[in-house]
Amino acid sequence: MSSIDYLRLLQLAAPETFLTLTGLMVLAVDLIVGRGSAPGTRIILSGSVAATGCLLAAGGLFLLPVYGTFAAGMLVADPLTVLIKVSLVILTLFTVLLAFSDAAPLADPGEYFALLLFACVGMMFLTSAEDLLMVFLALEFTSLSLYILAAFNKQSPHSTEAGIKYFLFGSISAAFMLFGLSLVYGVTGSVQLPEVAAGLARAGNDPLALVALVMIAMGFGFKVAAVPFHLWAPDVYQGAPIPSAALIASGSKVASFFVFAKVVVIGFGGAPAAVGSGAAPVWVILLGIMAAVSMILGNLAALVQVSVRRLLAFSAIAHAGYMLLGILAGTEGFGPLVYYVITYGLATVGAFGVVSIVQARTGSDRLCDFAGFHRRFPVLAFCMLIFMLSLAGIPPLAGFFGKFYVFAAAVKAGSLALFILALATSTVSLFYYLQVLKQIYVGETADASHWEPVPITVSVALLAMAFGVTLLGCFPDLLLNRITIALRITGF
Amino acid sequence: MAETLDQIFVALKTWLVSFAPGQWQPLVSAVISVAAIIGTFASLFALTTVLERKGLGRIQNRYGPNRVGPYGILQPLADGVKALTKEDVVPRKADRVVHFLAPLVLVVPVFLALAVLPVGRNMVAVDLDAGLLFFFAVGAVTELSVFMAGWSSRNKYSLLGAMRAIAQMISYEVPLILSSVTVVMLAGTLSTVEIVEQQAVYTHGLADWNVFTPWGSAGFILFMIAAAAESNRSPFDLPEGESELIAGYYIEYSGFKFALFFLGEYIGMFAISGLGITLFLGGWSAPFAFLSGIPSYLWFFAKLMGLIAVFIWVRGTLPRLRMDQLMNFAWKFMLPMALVNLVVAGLWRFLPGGVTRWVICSAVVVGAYLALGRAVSGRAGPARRSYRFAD
Amino acid sequence: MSVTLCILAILILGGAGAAMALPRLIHCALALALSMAGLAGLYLQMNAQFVGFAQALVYIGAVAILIVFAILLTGGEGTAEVGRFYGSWRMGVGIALGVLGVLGLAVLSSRALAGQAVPVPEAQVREIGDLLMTDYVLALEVIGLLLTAALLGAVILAMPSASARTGSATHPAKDQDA
Repeated sequence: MSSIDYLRLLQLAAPETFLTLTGLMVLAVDLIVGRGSAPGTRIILSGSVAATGCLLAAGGLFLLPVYGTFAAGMLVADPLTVLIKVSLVILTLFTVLLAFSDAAPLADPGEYFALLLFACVGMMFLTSAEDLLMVFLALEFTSLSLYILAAFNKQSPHSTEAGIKYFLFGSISAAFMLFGLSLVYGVTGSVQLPEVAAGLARAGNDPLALVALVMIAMGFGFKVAAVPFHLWAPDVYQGAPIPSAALIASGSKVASFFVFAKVVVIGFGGAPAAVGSGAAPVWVILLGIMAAVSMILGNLAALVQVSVRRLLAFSAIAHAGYMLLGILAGTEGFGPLVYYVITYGLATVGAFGVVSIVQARTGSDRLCDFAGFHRRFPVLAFCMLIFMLSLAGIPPLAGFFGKFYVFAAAVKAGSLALFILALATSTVSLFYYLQVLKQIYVGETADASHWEPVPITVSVALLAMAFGVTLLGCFPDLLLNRITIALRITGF
Repeated sequence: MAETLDQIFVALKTWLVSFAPGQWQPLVSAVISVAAIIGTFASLFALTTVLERKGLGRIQNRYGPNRVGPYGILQPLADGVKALTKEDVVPRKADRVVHFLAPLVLVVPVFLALAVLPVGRNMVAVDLDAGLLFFFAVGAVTELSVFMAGWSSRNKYSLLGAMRAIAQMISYEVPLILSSVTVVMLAGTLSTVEIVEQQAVYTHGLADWNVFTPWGSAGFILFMIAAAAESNRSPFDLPEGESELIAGYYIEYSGFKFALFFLGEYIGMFAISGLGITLFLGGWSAPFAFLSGIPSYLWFFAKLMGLIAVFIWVRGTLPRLRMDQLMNFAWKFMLPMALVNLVVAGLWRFLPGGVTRWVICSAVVVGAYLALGRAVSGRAGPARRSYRFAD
Repeated sequence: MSVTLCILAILILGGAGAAMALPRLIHCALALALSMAGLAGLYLQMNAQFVGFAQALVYIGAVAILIVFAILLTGGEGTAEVGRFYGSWRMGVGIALGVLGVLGLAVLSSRALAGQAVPVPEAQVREIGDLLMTDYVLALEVIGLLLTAALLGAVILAMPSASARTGSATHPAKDQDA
């Protein structure tokens, strides 16, 4: 029996372990202390435990990072993954804070927050996996938690619909992905990404390898909501409880894109032909088509949406298209992609937060419900302005630099046609983002009823996110430098 | 002499197999083993039915069957003839195919499960590396047969019985498997043969049976309780409670199919008792070194008859549980207790041997038992029971 | 291709086909269990004892039972009248055949799988256990977490909602007599 250093494993997986324990503690606190108290108290009680846990985990990750590898890629902790994990935990923290709002009264807050934390743990494992088995397991763990979170509000048929759709699409795409992974194992004889790369290079243009890559691309395409695997996104974004939707739109996307890029760049990097070379391999064409269709369909469909959450969903699909450009750019696009997804996640959670405020007070999230928001909550309206403009990619904000770097990487990698398409659709997207802002700032409404004040935690979270988006926009180097250094250390 | 007597059946089989031509030998060997198992356990079944009826009769202050043969010992023959000659009634609305298949799906797996039980030294039909897992895997199929029987009969009592049976079997399968896991942990193998061989060694003349350790005794008790529930024996016989559901899931079976169900239930009980003996009571080994002259298979069957006697005794003396009590007991007592027992087994493995180990492990087991017992019963301590309707 | 493989293939494919085509939901579930049993047999034929028995234990003992239970509890067994085939079944069959064709072609024309007769490994249960506790211990832990999340989700989705819970509290609980 080979011996193994369990202490080392515990050290490497300390943040995940800590968050898991926090999740269990949330359950215990809600059960022991919260039983019998009012729903509001229970939310505050278990929510604050969860938020404290996230805060401590993020601080611990940031201040005392531990680097190393466990069991040849089962768990890799290097500066890059730690950076991603910090951002994941922060996004989860904001999601937890959003749940304090009374938008959707939570029947079982303890379980809800515990599942949020579990989903975060799954994403963190996903981030640090360099082993296809672990990638799949972590992906399933994350997805499972997110399915439950999407269906959490049992009173609402929309939430149930969201859960069912997410689950059905998710399980089928997971089946395809597993099939693909098993074929990869069959062809290459390994599940560790570097060895998979070597094996694929040996296999050359083997048809079985191509089938496997297509299937894996399908699985990831579902996770990141790229066309044509996007059908679940609008319903889930619209129907799921808002914090769940925010986490699905932000954290899940960050982790999935990161691991997608990692699998493609490390694992398939050695596949048929290197990225950007003359004869484009099949999966480059495949991802290119996915990116183009996502950009076009996402942006055009978003134009006609009345529900802001659906609008955000289609915008997310469009953004998935832009991010795929980053993956297509290969090693060159890795850093920009990471920057893009993190800033995108931040702005999206913020946008969902504002939507949750409106929905809690008007009962719906139609565009016209946003009319007069500026007069009621001027500061929060300004936050929404920042989020929307960042999503649209307006210069001094983070979204602009994300797009800028990704597009630049795409041009360098030689996908000029896709770059032009991205630029054009990006302009189109400005229209619908401005629609929202127009309603907020100049929309007319006869409704003069008094709106309840926003809970302090939600306002603070929104302000912090707006501040973050602005800060990263004005000083992109704050994050970008870290990413570049981390990438260099990791060896990309 | 003792050695020859011990291995007489093994020698007999080798002798018989030697008559077969070369490439047929494995097949012939398998057929002989299967025939021996079926013959032995089927006759044991016949014997047990009459013993059970007589035992229950004694407990209930009556004679039991005493008409057929001396002391009624030939009663099973009469029962068998009756079952075979009875009309096989299938309800008109029943799902014929599933109705027909259900008894088969019950009887085949329970006989299969016997294949991995070492009934004596070198006496096992197949020595599988994952024998224990095999046992539970084929045991799991019986649940399906119970469902098939209950559902296909198109009778509300049978369906209710089947639902109860499945809920009960699934609930008690968890503590059953968890309590066997302790043995696997300490033995380091899933092979039933090896598990027995590890117990068949003697220190100071006493066998190293698992039941002689704190975790083993707790595990054995948990295992036997769960085993009673798995084989739908009293006090866990809700699925076939005569006073509520008439006969539960096999209410619409008659004639030979009913006999098959009866047979399946008893063989299932033998199999699971046999597993309990294998895991905790040292299988075919003698309890004391000076008794190891007695053939190994006799020890196994003596232990089996002992456990069956306990089952009969329990059936005669304990009242039937209620459904909620059954579930509470499974999930709030058996499961946590089995989990604690896993920890105790781990402690036993890693603590240095000696009196301290005994004291610590026993203290944990007893402490957990007291704490869980109080938590489940909701009483701070022993108190006088009050009966709502009887007082 | 050995006889055992043929029998198992018939069992698996027949079971799966029956699970799709039979009119009664319960029959479908039982056919599915048959197919799973065939799969367990396939593992055993490939000398993977542990996986085979685990497959039987989990899929026949737990999953199949869960399915029939779910069918009975939701009263779904009476859905025989609803058409088995929806309007678009021809398209579905076409797509399925297309995928099968592509896969079959890829497998047949693959060089990676051709010509290498891999010796059937004789994995002892002990080795599997060792690996699960060393190299794959993290995967094992993640599966544990996954199941915890699933358990939470099952409880959440199955538990009556808060309003229903307070409603039932007005009835005296029937388990008060000790």
